[in-house]
Amino acid sequence: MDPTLPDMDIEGWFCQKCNSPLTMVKVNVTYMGASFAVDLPSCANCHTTMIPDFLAFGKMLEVEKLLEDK
Amino acid sequence: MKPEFLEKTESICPVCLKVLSAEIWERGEAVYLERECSEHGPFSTVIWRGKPDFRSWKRPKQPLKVVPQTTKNQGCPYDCGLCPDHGQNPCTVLLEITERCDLNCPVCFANSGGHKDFTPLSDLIDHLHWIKKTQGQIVLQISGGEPTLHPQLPELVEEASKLFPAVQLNTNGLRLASQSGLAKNLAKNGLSWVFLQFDGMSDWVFQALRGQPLISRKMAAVAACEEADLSVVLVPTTAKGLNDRELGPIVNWARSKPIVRGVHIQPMTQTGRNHLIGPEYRMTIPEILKALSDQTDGLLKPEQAFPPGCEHERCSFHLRFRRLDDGQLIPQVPRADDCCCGPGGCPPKFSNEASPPEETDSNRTKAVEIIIKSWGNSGQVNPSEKIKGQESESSDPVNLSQNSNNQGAGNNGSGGGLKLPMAKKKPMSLDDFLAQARKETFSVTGMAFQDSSNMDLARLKGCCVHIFRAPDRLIPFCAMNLTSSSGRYLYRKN
Repeated sequence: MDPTLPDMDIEGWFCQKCNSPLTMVKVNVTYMGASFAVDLPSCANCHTTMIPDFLAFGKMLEVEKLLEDK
Repeated sequence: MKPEFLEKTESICPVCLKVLSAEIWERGEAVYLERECSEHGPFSTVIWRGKPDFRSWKRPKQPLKVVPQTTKNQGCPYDCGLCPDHGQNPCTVLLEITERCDLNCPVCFANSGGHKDFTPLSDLIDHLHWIKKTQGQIVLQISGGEPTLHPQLPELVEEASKLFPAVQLNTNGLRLASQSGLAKNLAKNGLSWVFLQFDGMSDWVFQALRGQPLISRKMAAVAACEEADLSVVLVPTTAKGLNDRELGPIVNWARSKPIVRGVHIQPMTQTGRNHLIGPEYRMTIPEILKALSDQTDGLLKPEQAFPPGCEHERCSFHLRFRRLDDGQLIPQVPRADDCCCGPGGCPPKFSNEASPPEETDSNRTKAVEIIIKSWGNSGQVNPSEKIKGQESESSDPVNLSQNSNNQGAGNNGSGGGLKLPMAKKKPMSLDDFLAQARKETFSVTGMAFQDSSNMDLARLKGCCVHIFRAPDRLIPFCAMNLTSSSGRYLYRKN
């Protein structure tokens, strides 16, 4: 678990596509040649992964801004 | 090849500076700005030569309505400024604190030198507050003359750093090299980075452009900044056939020095005190990009370069990289195989003239942030946070990363272009990546300033680099330094 990210309570979350429960897994994210590992809720069956808002509009947005052009 | 008409614009007569209607034509391998003065005849100046194609270098913008300091009287460029016709607020304001200089360069656009006066600190602080009040969050550049000669520079930097998200020092570096502790003192007082005149890697270049051999003193200036943990941007003034072969060596040296965050190339203009007058010295943006590519064995590629979001599209270019420990540069443009837009990569971002004009003021704000993160001290906080922290007390910076109750489902775009779950390199944590990436950015940029022979008033109206002129004027850089072919300034004192 990444200690810099808030705990995510995923109890009761299910995959909309296959109705399997979500579990926390380490996901490797790549963006413009850079890669980083993030613990994210993911469907054990189809591996669809949920990116919570706080991450998408927080650190991931910061990564994008850092790498984008003027 | 048959000549092709490309655009209509406005320009000036290089002799009398009268405003003239002008046309842009492609003739053979080059693109020309053409106009005719009823008194002084026709003028044609090369403004683009080579790849990328002139037609593809587009980034249209919606002109901004500035809060004017003057009224429209004679029209651009006579009513600066800013006048109601100007289309962009500044991302960078230059404050010239003295005309004195310890060099006497044959190519000085500001005609600096000698033992001229220093502006008193109290006046300079008043100027800082006027700039802050009228322009808000900009990058402040302290310039001259040679600003390090001003005896109260450290105090000025301290005051400026309280008001602006970044303070840049434009210097020849000689004092940084010779005066023990100056770089450290300036860094302690809040200087963000040094914009260091740096024309080549050999003494003969400085002899030609600056009148004396300087390479060892330039190296000493960089070493002083390194010791002070003060970021440096190397700024070569580049003239074709003179020091254009130095661009690759400068970039290769710069990327081996972690304290050097970028190289900012300024092709020489025929302004001020320039004894090297003549079209044969002019370098256009594509020629600079080709020289960079040729001299770095293709490490830098013209297709990695983009036009700016803040100023007019033909005023500058930028290439941004992540720099690894071994000096390797990773271009920060989406690759076809690793792109949010799927196989084939992003559609050409700036190559479509029909694309909607971008919103000028938000691009300016973004430009300030990107300048800071590109050139700022590696230990500096996230520029967005610094800018927010200096806004009015009523503003409430939002830390989205703590908004843990607001979760949303789905992987269909929430990540804003992030691709899951493949990784090509050993991944690190997001925080480690962010900390490292802030230190690792390296940029190669250039700004093609204008002079009386290539002045395009559409470009001038889009300018966002302005020089403060007491008590309450902002003059676009290329208007402030504009001189007629006989050397007569439009705005500066002759």
